[in-house]
Amino acid sequence: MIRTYLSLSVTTVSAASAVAAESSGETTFPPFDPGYFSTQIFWLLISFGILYFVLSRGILRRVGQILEERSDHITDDLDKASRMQSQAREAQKHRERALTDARAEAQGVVEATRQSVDAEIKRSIAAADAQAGEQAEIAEMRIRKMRSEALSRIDEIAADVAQAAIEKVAGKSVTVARIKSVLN
Amino acid sequence: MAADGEGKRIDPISQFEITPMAEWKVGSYDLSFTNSSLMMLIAVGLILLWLFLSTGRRSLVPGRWQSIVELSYEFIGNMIRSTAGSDGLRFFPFVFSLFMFILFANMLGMIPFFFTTTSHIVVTFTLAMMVMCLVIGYGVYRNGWGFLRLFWPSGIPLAIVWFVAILEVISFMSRPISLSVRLWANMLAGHILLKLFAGFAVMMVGAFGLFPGVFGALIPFAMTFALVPLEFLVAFVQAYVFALLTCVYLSDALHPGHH
Amino acid sequence: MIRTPQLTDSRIRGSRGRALMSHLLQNLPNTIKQAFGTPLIRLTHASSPGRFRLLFRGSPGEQQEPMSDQDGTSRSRSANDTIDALADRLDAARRKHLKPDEKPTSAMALGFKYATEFTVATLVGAALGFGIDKLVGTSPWGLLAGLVLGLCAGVREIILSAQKGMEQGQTAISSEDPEQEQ
Repeated sequence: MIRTYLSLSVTTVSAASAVAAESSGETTFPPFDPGYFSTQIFWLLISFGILYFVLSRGILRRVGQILEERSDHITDDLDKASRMQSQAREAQKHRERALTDARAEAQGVVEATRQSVDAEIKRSIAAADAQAGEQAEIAEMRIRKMRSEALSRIDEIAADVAQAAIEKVAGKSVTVARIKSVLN
Repeated sequence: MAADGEGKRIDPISQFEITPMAEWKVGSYDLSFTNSSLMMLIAVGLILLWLFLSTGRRSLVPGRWQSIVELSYEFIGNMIRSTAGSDGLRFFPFVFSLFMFILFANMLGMIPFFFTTTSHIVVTFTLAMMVMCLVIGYGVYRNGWGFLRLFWPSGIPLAIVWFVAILEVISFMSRPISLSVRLWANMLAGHILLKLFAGFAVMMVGAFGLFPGVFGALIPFAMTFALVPLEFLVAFVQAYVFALLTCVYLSDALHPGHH
Repeated sequence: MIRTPQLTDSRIRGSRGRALMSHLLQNLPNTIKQAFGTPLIRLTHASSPGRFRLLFRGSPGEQQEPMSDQDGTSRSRSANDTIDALADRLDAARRKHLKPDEKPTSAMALGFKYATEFTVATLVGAALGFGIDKLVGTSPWGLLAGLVLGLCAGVREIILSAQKGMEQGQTAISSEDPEQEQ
């Protein structure tokens, strides 16, 4: 602002000095010298005309084209990027789904394996049980046989013992058959 | 400006003098090729060279130079769009040329011993009149008599509408003057100031000898040093203001009904 | 912020250094974003595509190796983060492309404009009055009236441009939509 006032005051001062210079017959203030007005205007119009012509016909159009191309290109790229982004999201979703699927499948496999192993274990336990029962039965049978055998041999032993005892006590020998018949 | 130390004179005005380089008279008109004409042609040549070289490769991914061109292209484009609307873009080449011409003329003037074309009121006034002719010509071509609605504000009671219309006419007539005077006065004042301070610095050394003179020269030298970037800023801002106001005025030609 | 991978994991134990590197590289953009609030590594068109790819591509050998359950979910989470970060940047890029940021008119330019317009309008009014005086011969009155009218015109001009400037300032602050043309 200050500058503007300054420049305005300079303007007035210079205008005044120009007027003073003209009145006193000295050299005029150059920016106000009307002798050079025509050449200034003429050459200004010429040079500005050249500039305007070349710019409007050539260069600016080219710059505009470049910018438009770039804008189109960027728009395309942005579209492509957003398309790829949605694809990426899709892929990501797909991947997550696959992951959960795989996890579920793995869970299933684990469960199935566990069940089959359980069944196997149960089966072998049952088999072992059955085998053990069989063995126990066989052993029991043998015991029973042995016991009955032993029981059957008790008579003989008793007869032997009795014969020996009679011999010792009575001094008589008695046949085992006799004793047996007596005992029974 | 009464600076007479040892016969040396600081003359801040001589830098604005025009020296003919080739005489040429057509009728009573002097159309000589002068240093001013040379600087105009240099400005135009530089602009064209710059634009031509930096957009020559047309690469999709811009290099540094090309992106400067594109930035200025969009800078002007946005300026027009925000002030005159999208249909103002038909004046894009004109506004772009105007902005670049003034900017380059101002910047060239910042180089020492170069002539500043925009420090002459004829030049800036011609530029302003080009804008006003375009505004009036296009306004009438597009709107016919409706262009006069520009001076007839709507929504104001009939009693004072005449008064406001007169004010509008005065405003309209002052446009080319304010447009040209603003640019011209800024360039002129800036160059006079620069020359004065630089001259003072030199004069101090001349008057008091090298040793004490250097200290006397410090302040004007510092002022010169501080003024140079400011002048570059002003050179840009003035080109910007000129182009911006051109857009505002062109907007009137496009839509004279509403302000 | 950086999830350090479990180094006891059988997957990593084999090639500890490489796995750590790839993990850090994968999470680097997110880490930077969390730390600074903005993604420092931006996808500008073709500024450095190689670097970009380096940061976001998982090392290809990794996929074939078996992975533990926990690591799988964490990786999918980081992939989601990456996609989200990319989506954010894509949105930002699109906004930037559609609406170029507008510069407000510089205050210095406005200052120059007001100062000259006021002065020149006054002067033009006075000159018009002076001209009418010369034509009609109403010697001081035309100049006087012209001066007053010129002053009024100057004031009006300043008021109008100030109003316009304020409107523009408000729209620049409040508006988000690009269609702000009268």
